[in-house]
Amino acid sequence: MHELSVTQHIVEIIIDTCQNNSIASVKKIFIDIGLLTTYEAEAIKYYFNLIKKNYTEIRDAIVVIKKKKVKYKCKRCHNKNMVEDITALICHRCGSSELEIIEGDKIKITKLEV
Amino acid sequence: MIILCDSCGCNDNNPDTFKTQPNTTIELYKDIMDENNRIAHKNWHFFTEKGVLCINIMGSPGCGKTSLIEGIAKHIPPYEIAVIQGDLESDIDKQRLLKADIDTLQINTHSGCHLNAAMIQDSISKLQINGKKFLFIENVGNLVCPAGIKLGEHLNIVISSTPEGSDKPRKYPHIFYNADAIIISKIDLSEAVNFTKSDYIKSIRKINREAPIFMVSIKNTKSFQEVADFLVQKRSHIKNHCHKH
Repeated sequence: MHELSVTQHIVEIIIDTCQNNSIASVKKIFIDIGLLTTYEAEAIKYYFNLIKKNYTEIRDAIVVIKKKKVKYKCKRCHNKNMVEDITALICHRCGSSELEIIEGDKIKITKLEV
Repeated sequence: MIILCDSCGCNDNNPDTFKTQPNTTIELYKDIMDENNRIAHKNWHFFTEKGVLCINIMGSPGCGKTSLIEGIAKHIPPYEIAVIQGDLESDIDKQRLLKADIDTLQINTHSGCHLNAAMIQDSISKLQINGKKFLFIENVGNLVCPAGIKLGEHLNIVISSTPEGSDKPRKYPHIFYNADAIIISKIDLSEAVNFTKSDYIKSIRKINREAPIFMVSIKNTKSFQEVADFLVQKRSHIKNHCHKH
């Protein structure tokens, strides 16, 4: 049910965007899901396909989801790198856990193809 | 919002143009949690200005979230504490806390698997917060969904109990990564359930090196003293923040 509420919110944002910009029909919705979030891509697609039937603007739209790896900048040594294993969130260079997460901790609608 | 036409690459913002141009791409870069985070920030400011330390308590169903609050209330006067209690249904935990003379508001999410900032904002007006020093938000019992959902808290506390096993941090890293303090509850049962404290701490420290780890048991009231002291110390920082204004 976690993905149902976030998908409903995604739909609200898209419908708002459509109404504010006179968009009649959306073909594709591109979403990035960071691996530090707890959202499951297939569940979002599933709920989207159920909800979209209620809206003419997105009735024929498909969702394209990209999973974003976690990128960090170490606050101690300033190293930037990807996190390979999210059960070990430490800097590869100096071993610090004081990391600034610069990517991979959000769920975003990146673009619409109309 | 940047709108690019796929045909000619222009970013003509004329709405009539969108209607007629095929395959136009609209770049949004919209964080889905923006609205929640905006409300959470408002909540945070409200609590900070009131001098109320807001603590989001998360953990599995039955891990000891309510017991943690009851235990802390033996070391911090109950009249200084307010609780927003989240569960799908029932007010069982609210009734427990009221018996301990702790002002408690119940949120029933029905099917929602976590609380959100709007629910907390809505609760603030219904809860007597004046004169309180600590607000505990007891989140819906869940080690997955509440992770990373901001409510307006100053601190995130994650509880896992010994019967759940020492592998929880490895299996649910998201929630432990965001924790400002970690509680191992039911520590008196460690031997009976083969809980390995060193394994647990080792796996926590791979994700979170900063959060202090406290061990508690309802069989030992004194075990909650350290947690209470930690919260009092944390609250003194937000008091300083208020004084700067």
